[in-house]
Amino acid sequence: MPEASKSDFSRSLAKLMSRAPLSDAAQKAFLGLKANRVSFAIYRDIVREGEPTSRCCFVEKGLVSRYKTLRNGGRQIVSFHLDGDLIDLQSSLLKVADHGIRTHTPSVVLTVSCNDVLQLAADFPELALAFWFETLVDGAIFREWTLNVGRRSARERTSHLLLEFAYRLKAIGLSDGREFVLPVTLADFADAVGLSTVHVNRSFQALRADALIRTFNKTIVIEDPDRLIREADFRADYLHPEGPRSPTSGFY
Amino acid sequence: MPRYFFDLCNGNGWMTDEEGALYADPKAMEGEALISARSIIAGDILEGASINLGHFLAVRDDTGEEIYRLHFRDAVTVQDFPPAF
Repeated sequence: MPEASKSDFSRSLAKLMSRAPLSDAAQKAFLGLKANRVSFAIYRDIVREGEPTSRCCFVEKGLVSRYKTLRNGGRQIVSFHLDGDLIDLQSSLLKVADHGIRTHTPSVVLTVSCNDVLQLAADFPELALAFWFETLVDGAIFREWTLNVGRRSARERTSHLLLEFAYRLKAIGLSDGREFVLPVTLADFADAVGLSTVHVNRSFQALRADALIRTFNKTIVIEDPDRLIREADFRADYLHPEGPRSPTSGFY
Repeated sequence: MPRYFFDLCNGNGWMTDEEGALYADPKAMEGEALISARSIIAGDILEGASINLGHFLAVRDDTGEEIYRLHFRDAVTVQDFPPAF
C-alpha cells in the first residue's frame, strides 16, 4: 500500500554517482522524481512477468530478484539486487515485462511513471547515460549467470554466487568481503544456480568439508578466498567496477 | 501446507536440511526428493565421480520424524546389455 512518507532516492543516486559524477541540476532532478512509496512483505511480486508495464520501480530498501517461471511453476532467478539498485529502468522502454521482480526481504519500493523517467533522461543526457550504464551492467550479470548455469559444475556455481554476494555486499558496506549474512534462503539460492535445494545444500557441505567456507546459521565466512576464487573462476570484471567511459567533451 | 526437511546421507556424511520447504502433499514431496536425487547423481556423473546407489535422501516432517527415504538406486534405472537392433 502507498505510504505518505517522503520518497528517498538517495541510495539510488549514491549508486549512480559511485559510477560517474552528476551535475547538481541532474542530482536535484533525480531526487525530485514524483514517486509512490510502496511497502512489500517478503516474497511478493513487485513486477509480474508478462504484464504490461506502467511504472519503473527503484528499490529504496530490500533484496529482490529477477526471475522467470516455467510452465510447471518452477523458477529460475536471473539476478539478485540490493538496496539502491535501479532494478527496473527497463520498464521505461519495454512495454511488457519479460520477467518478474520479487522481494526476498520486507522491502520499500519507489515507483515512478515511465514517462517521467524518459523525460528525465531526455532533459539530462548525463542521466540517460547513467541509466544506460546500469542496464548494461545488468546485461553483463545475466551473461555471467548464463555461463554459470550453463557450464559450471554444481560446486563451481555455488562458489561463484557466494563470491558475487560477498563482492556486492562489500560494495554497499554490508560485508568486509569475506564474511556476510546470506540474504536469501538455500531454496532461493538453488533457483538462482539452477539446481535442487538439496544439491545446493550438499555443495555447501562439500565446500565446508574442504575448508573453503565456514557457516553458522546464515553467516558465511570465506576461509580461503584465493582458492574459492580459483575454483569458481570468479573475476569481478563482469560487475564493471571501473565504471563507464565518459564522453571526452563532458556534459557541463 | 506442511514443511518437509530433506537430509542427505552421502560420501561427505550426513547433511541436514536446516530450512525445509513447503509442499502441498506427500506426493509433491516425493516428486521433489526424486528430482533432487537425480540432480545430484547427474552432477556427480558429469564431474566423473563415482555414484553410490546406497546413498539416500531422508525426508523429515516438522516433528522431526523421518517419513520417507529415497535411495539413489531407486532414483535411476541403469541398464547394461547391448542394444537390440
